[in-house]
Amino acid sequence: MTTLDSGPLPVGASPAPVTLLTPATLDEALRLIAGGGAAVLGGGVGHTLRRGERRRPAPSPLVSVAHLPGLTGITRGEDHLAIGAGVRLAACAADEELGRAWPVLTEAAGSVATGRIREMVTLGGNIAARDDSHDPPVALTAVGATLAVRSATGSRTLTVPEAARLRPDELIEHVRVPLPAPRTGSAYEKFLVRGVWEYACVNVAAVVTLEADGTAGHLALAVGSVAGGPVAVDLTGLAGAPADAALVAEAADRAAATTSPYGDVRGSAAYKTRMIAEFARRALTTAVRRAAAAPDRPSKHSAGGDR
Amino acid sequence: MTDTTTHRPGDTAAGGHRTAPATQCAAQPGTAPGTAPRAGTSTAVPLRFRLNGEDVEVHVQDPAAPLLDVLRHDLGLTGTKSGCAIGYCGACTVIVDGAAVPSCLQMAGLVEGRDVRTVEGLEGPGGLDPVQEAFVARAGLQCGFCTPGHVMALRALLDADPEPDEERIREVVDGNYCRCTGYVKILDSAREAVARQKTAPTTEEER
Ligand SMILES: Cc1cc2nc3c(=O)[nH]c(=O)nc-3n(C[C@H](O)[C@H](O)[C@H](O)COP(=O)(O)OP(=O)(O)OC[C@H]3O[C@@H](n4cnc5c(N)ncnc54)[C@H](O)[C@@H]3O)c2cc1C
Ligand code: FES
Ligand code: FES
Repeated sequence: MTTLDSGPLPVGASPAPVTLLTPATLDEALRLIAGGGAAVLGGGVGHTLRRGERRRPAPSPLVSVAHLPGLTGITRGEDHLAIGAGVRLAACAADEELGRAWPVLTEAAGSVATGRIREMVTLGGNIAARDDSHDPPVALTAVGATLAVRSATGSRTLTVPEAARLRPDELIEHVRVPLPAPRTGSAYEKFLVRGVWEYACVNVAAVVTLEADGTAGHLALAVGSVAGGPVAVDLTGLAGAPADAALVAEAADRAAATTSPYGDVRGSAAYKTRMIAEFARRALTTAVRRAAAAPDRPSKHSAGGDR
Repeated sequence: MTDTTTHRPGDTAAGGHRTAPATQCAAQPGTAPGTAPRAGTSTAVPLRFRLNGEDVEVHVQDPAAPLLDVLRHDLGLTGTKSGCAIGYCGACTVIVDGAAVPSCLQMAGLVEGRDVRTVEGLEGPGGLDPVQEAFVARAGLQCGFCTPGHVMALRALLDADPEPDEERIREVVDGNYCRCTGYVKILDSAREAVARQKTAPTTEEER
């Protein structure tokens, strides 16, 4: 869970200064973090917030990466979109091609904090912070996105829930998002107990692909703000059934039954479990409706060209 | 954030004129400060950026400090207010490379080479920026604590989109708490600002 608190320093104390390094190339950045003694810096929001904490980790050099070539844009490949880890959430939320392909992603990015904060937060920083209530990782988990991770000695691919396995000498270079199959719909639901922007009480992402006969060929649900989140809900056995209210209800019940929310200021664990069922139902219902309205040809032939 | 020297070459070659903001932050200088400052010594690192149209250099003890502290404590620009210091209230909003951001979350070291505008830099044909005039005309403030944040966020909006719709306006006002007015007059002021922006002759240096 996340609580924001400026956690004032003891009177008279000032945090120890930190060295900030601004490499010009990715290779230089990878060399700087190679020893594991330096921390990667995205938009700096998380770092700046933690600066006030009493028991924050010993300061280490910060290596700024958000501006690096290769981390800054959204590019289109044959069968995927690659979102640079340095891309701000405001840019993710506003990207038309991303919104056409995966509304769940632009909705999740656009639901984070306020527009002003979304201008600062990077996608990579939001994921690497590994906060189970963060929004974009929930949506990325549902669409099956992967993280392209680099270190001075090599590269590897992690799923979004595996971000916990990032090593200190590694950084996320970009997030690889598959292009949706034809007749795919997706939706994001963030439940805010007070109805204004804040961290989610529960957050759920849904993806549905319809077959020509109206059955759900593929369906996925991911849930955040739960222990070990984001959690990809195990929906084994549900694909192939008609994409109707009964299927939606069954998938939503599974999301509630197989996740473990925790009680906090946003609600008790029992309340959140009921909310997970309800918001999973809403997300899936919207995803089915969008899938029915989606083009029945692969989106790589229908939309935009290279960018 | 003590022991800081400030140097403002305001009226040098550029003649103190505002020029177009440096585009993007792409051209960040190579590797910045080399050695780790040790606790106890007063190693300050230089930070150079464009502030309200002038190049400034300020020596900061800690580049990881929030820009808000550098503005208020080191540069003495107290127009930018500190409310929550954790991104919630919006009172500290400034414009960095065209985007309105809470300066309490903006790490100072990351503005190296970039363009920063604060409420002190606003001006317009009649002295005040049209957004400020709108707040005066519509009584969009009471104590005024939240006002610099609102004004800067709306300035950034109008620079990017001179004719925003109602939804855009509300989105921009969101995230800036006001404990006095109840927002009705702030939204009135925002709409008034849009109207004034349309009629106001644009100040020479705008973008
Ligand atoms: C008022 C407020 C409200 C918020 N509300 C929400 C919300 O509703 N939903 C939500 O999802 N988030 C919310 N956030 C949190 C915000 O998304 C996180 O703080 C985010 O981690 C900040 O991203 P950054 O790029 O600034 O990260 P940084 O502070 O730069 O980095 C965060 C962490 O990620 C690591 N890191 C950064 N980039 C990389 C990379 N490329 N590779 C590997 N590691 C990297 C850093 O080392 C650090 O550990 C809110 C924050 C605030 C202040
Ligand atoms: S002081 Fe920065 S948002 Fe409140
Ligand atoms: S006028 Fe007082 S807080 Fe807005």
